[in-house]
Amino acid sequence: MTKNNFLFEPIEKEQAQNQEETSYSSVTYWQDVWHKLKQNKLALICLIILSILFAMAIIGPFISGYTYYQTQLSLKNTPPNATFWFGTDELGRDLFTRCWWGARISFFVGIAASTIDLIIGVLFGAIAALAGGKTEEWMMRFADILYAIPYLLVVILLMVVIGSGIFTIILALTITGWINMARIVRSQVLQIKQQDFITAATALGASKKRILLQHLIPNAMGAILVTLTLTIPSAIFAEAFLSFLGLGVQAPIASLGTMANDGLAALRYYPWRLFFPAVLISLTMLSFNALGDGLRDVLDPRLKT
Amino acid sequence: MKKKLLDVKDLHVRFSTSRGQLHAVRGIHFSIYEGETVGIVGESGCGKSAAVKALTRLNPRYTTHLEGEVLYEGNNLLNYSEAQMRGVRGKEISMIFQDPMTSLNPTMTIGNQILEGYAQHFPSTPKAKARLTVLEMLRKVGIPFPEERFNAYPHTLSGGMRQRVMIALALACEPKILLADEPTTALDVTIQAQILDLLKFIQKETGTSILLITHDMSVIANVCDRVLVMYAGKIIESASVETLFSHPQHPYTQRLLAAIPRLDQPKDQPLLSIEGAPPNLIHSLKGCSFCPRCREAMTICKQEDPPTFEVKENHLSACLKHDARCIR
Amino acid sequence: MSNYLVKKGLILLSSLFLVTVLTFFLMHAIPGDPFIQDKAIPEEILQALHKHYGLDQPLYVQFFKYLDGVLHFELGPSFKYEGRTVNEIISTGFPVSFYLGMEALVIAVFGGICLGSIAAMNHRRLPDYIMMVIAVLGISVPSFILATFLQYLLAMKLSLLPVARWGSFSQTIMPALSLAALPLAFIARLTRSNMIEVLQQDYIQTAKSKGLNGIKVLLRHVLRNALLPVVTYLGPLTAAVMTGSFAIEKIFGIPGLGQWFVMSITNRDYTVIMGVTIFYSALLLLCVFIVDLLYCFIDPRIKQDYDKK
Repeated sequence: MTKNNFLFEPIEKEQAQNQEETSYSSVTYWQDVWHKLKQNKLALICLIILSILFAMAIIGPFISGYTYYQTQLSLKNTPPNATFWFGTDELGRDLFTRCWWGARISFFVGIAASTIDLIIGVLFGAIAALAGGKTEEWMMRFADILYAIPYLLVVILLMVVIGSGIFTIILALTITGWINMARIVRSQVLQIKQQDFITAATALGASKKRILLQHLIPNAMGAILVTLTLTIPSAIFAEAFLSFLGLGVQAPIASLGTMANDGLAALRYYPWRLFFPAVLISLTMLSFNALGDGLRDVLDPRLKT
Repeated sequence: MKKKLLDVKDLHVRFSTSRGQLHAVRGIHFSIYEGETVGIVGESGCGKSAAVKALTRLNPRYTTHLEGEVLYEGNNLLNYSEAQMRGVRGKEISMIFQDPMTSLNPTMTIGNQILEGYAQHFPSTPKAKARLTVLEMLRKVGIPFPEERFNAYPHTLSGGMRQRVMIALALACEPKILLADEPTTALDVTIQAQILDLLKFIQKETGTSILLITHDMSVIANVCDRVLVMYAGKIIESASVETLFSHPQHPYTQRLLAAIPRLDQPKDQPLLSIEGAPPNLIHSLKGCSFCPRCREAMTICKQEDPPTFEVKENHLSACLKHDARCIR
Repeated sequence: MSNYLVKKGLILLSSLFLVTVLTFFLMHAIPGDPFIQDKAIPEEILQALHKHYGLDQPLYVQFFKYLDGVLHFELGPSFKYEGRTVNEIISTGFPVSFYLGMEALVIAVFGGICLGSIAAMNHRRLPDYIMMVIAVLGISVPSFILATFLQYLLAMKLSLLPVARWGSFSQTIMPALSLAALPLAFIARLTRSNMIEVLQQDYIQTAKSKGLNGIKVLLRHVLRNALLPVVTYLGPLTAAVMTGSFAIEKIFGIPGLGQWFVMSITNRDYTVIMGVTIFYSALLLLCVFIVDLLYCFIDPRIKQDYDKK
């Protein structure tokens, strides 16, 4: 046989090259984050739970028809039944409504304190990282000294002095709560600052402001978001803890912590008075923590403490 | 006739990943004889590391599936229990790794790390004698003042020194085969040369066979007797070093060698690269894996996986152009 | 190494000083008089009380006197409990809290390391997922809520353990468990993530390629490296146990320093509040300092680096 079998004919070069294909379609950074986060079943469930809790905190107090301060002494300490879904407390107030009011306060305090921590922390951290030199050194030393002080002790002291109330709690929590965020932001900005794309941007003539807004902060968003999500539960915990010790909001408003405190005394006979607020606190903190963990796994595993 | 130490037949390595099963090594065959240095060369991701780790079953235990035969002294290592493998590792077949900076335990002195390996396989040797063996080993690999360096921690040594320690560690029990996974990739060029010289020296001294993985053809030319070229999980060409460099047969090998810049090239001549990228090994491949990037591709290449042809004595090439039906 | 220690020591002293200043001025910023509570007190007696307690002096003098007292470990008398000094309160309450704290610490450290190690070695398999869920629960459920839950279930409903009070070993179990839950969860997670990282390190591969068996690899190579960062957590762990004790002691009626502290807050007993705050702060800062010292000795890299300097 002198002629090539057709199988052995060379193929056209275009045909050969067309077989190459890209493996994955292009997605944006945050789309990718969302996609990966969805794979974490626990984080996803907790996100749903949080949405439900949040929604209930808003509409919950209106559902049952009772207010949080309405007392009906004849109905005091009734266990959960068809009218009072969570039962009543020692003054006959509907616990269902009170719990969701309490949830409102916990959410409010948690998110407000964390947001303030966020703002102060990001500013402090970014400025320290950008300033560099002696300024940065003294700023961080100041933060170190402040950080070494036992956080809750100072908060307790402040509460004793200023008196209790929602805004004083938020104030007390934010006095030292920003330090963690500041440290993380600073270390992130330092890392990003050194990367080649920043040098490239500078070499192409970008202004400092543009670099800060377009490159530094967006790339630190991951760490900031994770820290925020994990600061909220510790703020909620702090508020509940303070309330439990008797330093919380004043009656008749109740946060979940004060309700837990009241419920403690009646634990043996009327356990539901402690049970429902306790479950709500735990569920909220759990969901934020799991969500924060999931976010951290996706965004920056190096942040793991 | 040199003794055959290791005979690998139809070795397959598959990894279970979240995106599916990755078929990293797709049926390779090769042998290692006494006293020779065999090189495995290929791009990143071609499966060379996975294949070599499979020889002593160092791949991740729960996600790796091994198939085929790895015959050492007549026994298939793939059938050994874990306890039996531990008797092989370090004593019969040793391995050194790519990054000397991270391959040593930072909280143990280098002396103790070598001693540990030795004591594992020779537990009845009195401690003093074992220590002397270790010191001798350190001296042999060229570490000055071994008595003092015995108590040094890895972070006090330079990269080249650490790699020497790794070699000492691997050779402490006088294994018959040394597997070297890119031992010089993470080192400076001058240190690279020293380490390669050390390997050559060791082989002459002890007669240990070396299986050397690298992606650097110049290392192959420097140290090896024989070469295996891997692409996409298969060995696509194997030959002695002289033959491979002078008469490469497989299109991939030819392109690989052509891509090396030469000193006598005119300055404005463009560098030759191989267009395209290696295939994704999660998908099963139809036909020859190099076909999309091959300039000599034929219609049959898309359909049939090329078998290995013996082009000359001891020179194998897996390309369909060697098929008798193909006339050039 | 001495450089490092000096630096850490200075931070410690500055923080302690700051706490003292803060505490002092905060307490004195409270409007009103510590003695004017329920009954009206005649003016002369008030004056005499002020003189007796040195409250008629200018503020900065009072501060320096207080500071002097602190440095000599004299924290002043209690305003609420006649004849008792803050020092006495601390010396009766602290040993109890210390015992409880130590018990919690031991549970947290051993439990946490075991749990974390098991999870890490079974990465991405069932034991790992179970442990991760337990850990998240441990971190999220506040210690005082866990305490009440345990109390209700184990003591009130099932009568397995005594409900409250202090004295026998079984009375320490529930409080210690509640206190230990959070640190245990933290340590477990820390151990797990460090261990997973260490298990992927090349030197583990080297150890295996020498033919070492699992246990030897674990002890000499994995644990030694994975546990280093856990040591640094011991500082915050002490803080967590300490503040946790306030609520736990209240719930279980344990006569520890935490409970005294909570009572003094409710009673607005200022000297006690101040004294205990400073005591706790000093204790915590000392613990952190000791941990830093310890870390220096354990990690050969840090020790040698600083020795060289």
